[in-house]
Amino acid sequence: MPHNEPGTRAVLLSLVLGAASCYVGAPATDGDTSGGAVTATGDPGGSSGPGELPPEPKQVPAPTIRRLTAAEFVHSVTDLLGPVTMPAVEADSLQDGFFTVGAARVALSPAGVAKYEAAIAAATEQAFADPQHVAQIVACVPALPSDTACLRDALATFGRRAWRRPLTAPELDRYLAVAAEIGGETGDAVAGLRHAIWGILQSPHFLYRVELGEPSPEDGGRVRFTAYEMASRLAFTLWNTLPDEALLDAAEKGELVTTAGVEAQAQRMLADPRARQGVENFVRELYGLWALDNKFKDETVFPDWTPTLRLMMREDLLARVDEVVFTAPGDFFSLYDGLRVFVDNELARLYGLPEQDPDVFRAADLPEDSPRRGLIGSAAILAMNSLPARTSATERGQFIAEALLCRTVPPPPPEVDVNLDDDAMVDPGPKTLREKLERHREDPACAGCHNITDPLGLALEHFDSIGRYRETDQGLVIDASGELDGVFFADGAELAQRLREHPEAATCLVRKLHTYAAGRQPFGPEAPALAAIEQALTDSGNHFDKLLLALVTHESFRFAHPDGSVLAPDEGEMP
Amino acid sequence: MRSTKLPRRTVLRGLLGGAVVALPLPRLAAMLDGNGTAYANGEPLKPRFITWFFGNGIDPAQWVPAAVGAGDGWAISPSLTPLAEFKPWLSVLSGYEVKVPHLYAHKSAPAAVLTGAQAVDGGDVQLPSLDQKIAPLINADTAFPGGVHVGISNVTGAGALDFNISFGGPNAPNPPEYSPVALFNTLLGLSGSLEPDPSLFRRKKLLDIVAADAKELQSRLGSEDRIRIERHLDGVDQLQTQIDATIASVDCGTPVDPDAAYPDRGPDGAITIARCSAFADLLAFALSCELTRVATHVFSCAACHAPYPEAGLGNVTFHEDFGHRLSPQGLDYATAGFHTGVAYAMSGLAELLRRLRDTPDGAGNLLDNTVIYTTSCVAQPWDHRMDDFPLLVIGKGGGLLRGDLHHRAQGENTSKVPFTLLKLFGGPEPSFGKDEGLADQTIPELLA
Repeated sequence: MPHNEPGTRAVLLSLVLGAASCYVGAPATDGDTSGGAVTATGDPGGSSGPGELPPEPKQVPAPTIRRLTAAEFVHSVTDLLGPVTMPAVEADSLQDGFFTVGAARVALSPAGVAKYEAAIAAATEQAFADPQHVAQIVACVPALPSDTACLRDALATFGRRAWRRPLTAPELDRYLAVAAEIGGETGDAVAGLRHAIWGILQSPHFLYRVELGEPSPEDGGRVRFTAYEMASRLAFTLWNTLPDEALLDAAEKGELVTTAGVEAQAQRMLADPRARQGVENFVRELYGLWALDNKFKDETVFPDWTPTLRLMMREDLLARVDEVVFTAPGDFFSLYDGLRVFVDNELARLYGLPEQDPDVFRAADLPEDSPRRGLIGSAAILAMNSLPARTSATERGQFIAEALLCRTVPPPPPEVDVNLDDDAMVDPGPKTLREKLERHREDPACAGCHNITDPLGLALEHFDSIGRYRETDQGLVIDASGELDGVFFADGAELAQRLREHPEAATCLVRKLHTYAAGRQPFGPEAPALAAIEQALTDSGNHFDKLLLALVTHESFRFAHPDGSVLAPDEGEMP
Repeated sequence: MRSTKLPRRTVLRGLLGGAVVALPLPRLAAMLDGNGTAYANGEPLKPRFITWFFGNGIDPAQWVPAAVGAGDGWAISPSLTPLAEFKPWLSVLSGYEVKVPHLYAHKSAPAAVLTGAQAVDGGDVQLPSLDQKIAPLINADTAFPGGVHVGISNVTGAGALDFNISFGGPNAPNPPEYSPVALFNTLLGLSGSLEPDPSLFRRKKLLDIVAADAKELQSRLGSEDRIRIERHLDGVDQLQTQIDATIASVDCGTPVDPDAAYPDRGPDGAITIARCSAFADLLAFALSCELTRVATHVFSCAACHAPYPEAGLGNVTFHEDFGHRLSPQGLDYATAGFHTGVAYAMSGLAELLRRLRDTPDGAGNLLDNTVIYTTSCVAQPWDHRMDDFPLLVIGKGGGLLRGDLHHRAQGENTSKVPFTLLKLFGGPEPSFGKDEGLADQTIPELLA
């Protein structure tokens, strides 16, 4: 591979975002926007004294293509072909906590191309097995391989949807030729069409989001996403899948390059059932719910840990989000300390709630004085951030610090003895986790980071490795009290309330959503945009749909770089 | 790294589908000289290369052999007991330490021993891994120019280097294949035991169009995206090459079907020795036929959190309970369990070595003609130690490696090992790695 040095973008990003000391808050939104950008020389921009030349324009990296995440790929293929079963494609890469960020940076491996070919072969084979179904997925079904007008209509319509833009004439001709050739060879016009569609879906124009923008003369040359690119951005952000015909029609009419045009479509899209798929995918990535699938527990300690329980834990959390965003729209942060849960009997037992006949998945409320509250009291979050046989205050604390407060917790330093038992003591006897973790807080090498994580995680010690309530740990009394940024909490329930009230909760949520949607961390000069979006969230009473609307209708969503900045020149050469 | 020009020796030119195509072929007896010890044109057989990686490190007290020396001068250590029957092919390198600053636990060290350089904060690596430096030297004319990459455990290591040990460069990993059935199906297609059918030509036509789309798109992109699309084009090329090889239908025997041979091997991603055996069969087949000469094998990824139930270590994370010795059953239990787990991983490696030794190749066997680089993500894990790093070189590399050796070099840079192996395969660069990780000296003791 000819790329032996990290690219300009990586260098710039590290300059923009700064290196990690132990606690790194939200660097680009701290208000220090002047130091957040760099000039071409790498010096912080934005300052100039009297008599000096005006500062160099602030530079930010240009947008990159993004490979469809596995979820985007499956949803898109399903939208195009109907329900199909496919072998897995190459796995997503997690960067900065999101698959969407990995998708903008990580290259597919050579073996990944074969996986796409096989997955799309399986999908098109199933979709084309039934002639009636074929008529539903293409605009015209050719009777003869020579029926060029029909093939052209079918491929142009399918291609526009799949590639999120009309095919150019040479592109369409290429796929038309292959459809006609294979149709002729096999004497089966539909087989020809199926092969052309197999090709369209293997093309990088389908597999990657090509949203590069073009300079807009009316915006002083600022690089603006085209109307079709906006359709793609809206659809993948709000629906986690490709645009529908209505959205592409709006793009064709040029309606998506203005705030008003985007707002009209976004309102429509948020009312569409696919918006639930979009929010669900964000939540799966933000809370790392995908990890639940491979989570294992020591079955000798937790015989109750079953595949159905694991599934129900995830459904519980997703249903809570669905309710607060869609069915009974309310304050999103009520998720942080709410008493609403969704259970079947198996999960109801774990939550100490009554069982019910018939055993259906249902809403239920924990008692007002419950020690279990909110997201951090959900079985999914508790079980995911635990070891197979024991809890982990560090993992649980890290989840709270990173996912809810956007604090960076670096990994442990080298040559640290990570064994928390005292080797010199023959039999230390049972200890609570808080006692065991005493070392973390005493040893200066550990304390810097563990003082972020451990006090938060220890608040949840009343919940075991699968999230079941326990009064004691090995017969010892549990002290779940602590402090979050100087505010005392007695236990996990109170910590949940502190988190809901925390001034950084909204800032962090906005930053996470922006990172997820953009496929990258925010740039320094985007701080005002993030602040404006946060204000809209607050003004709406923290309604998540209004946050999504504010994000996609903000002018920053329509441009490749913030006003007043320019795209960094590309120093690479064509291979 | 797309190669369109193939060495004459392995190229068959023929008219297929109306077009002249170049076909890389599996090695045939007819292509070797009368003794089977060299190619027909007299060129010596090319050695093969494998990186074999296991997560969570070793205990130097159990890993490092007591005596330094060659042949009878040294004896197998407790952790290496499962490799005892392969002692004639085994070189243990001890005392080496990772010189790259240990900024990221379980990430800096594997990046250093695989690539010779520091990891990237929030990303993976800065430089290509050793296997990807060797691949262009010996593998461009095969059906897998970038090598075959397989894995046993698919449980994460807290995101250390994701699941990967093979990197074409930054953000260009070669993720392992966890399904022996998937690899079997690919190899079966290439083995010549299936009848070629017309659908193969249709697939090639589609790939031609996809490549044309990709090249047009590439011209509109920035340099990093161009590299990403270039890699996508590498994949298209590799698939075209494999379809050509399938069309050519050269009989190379039939690979062992994992479902027939190891029906109880456990699900893809689980750690079992039977899964190691299944992949060992398939890798030996692929290397023997020269469908590839480069492979990587991840037993468990850096800082892997998977359990080792088959080793009697329960359904708890090996990393936490044994690597960090945090088992509630106490330090003695945890330490003994850690030793059991390391030996268990080596018994997985032994499966591969056995298949290679038992596969004839040239005048000897495949193990004689292979180099296996074995390493981990840490030395002693409970202190996150970086000195006395686990480093094994196994096989004779076609007679270039001495074998049966314990060589100790206190405090030397671990990068000297990959640099020595790179030079062995004819790498032209004067060094391996960069900054603190850079090595420009080989280890002459390793060589025959």
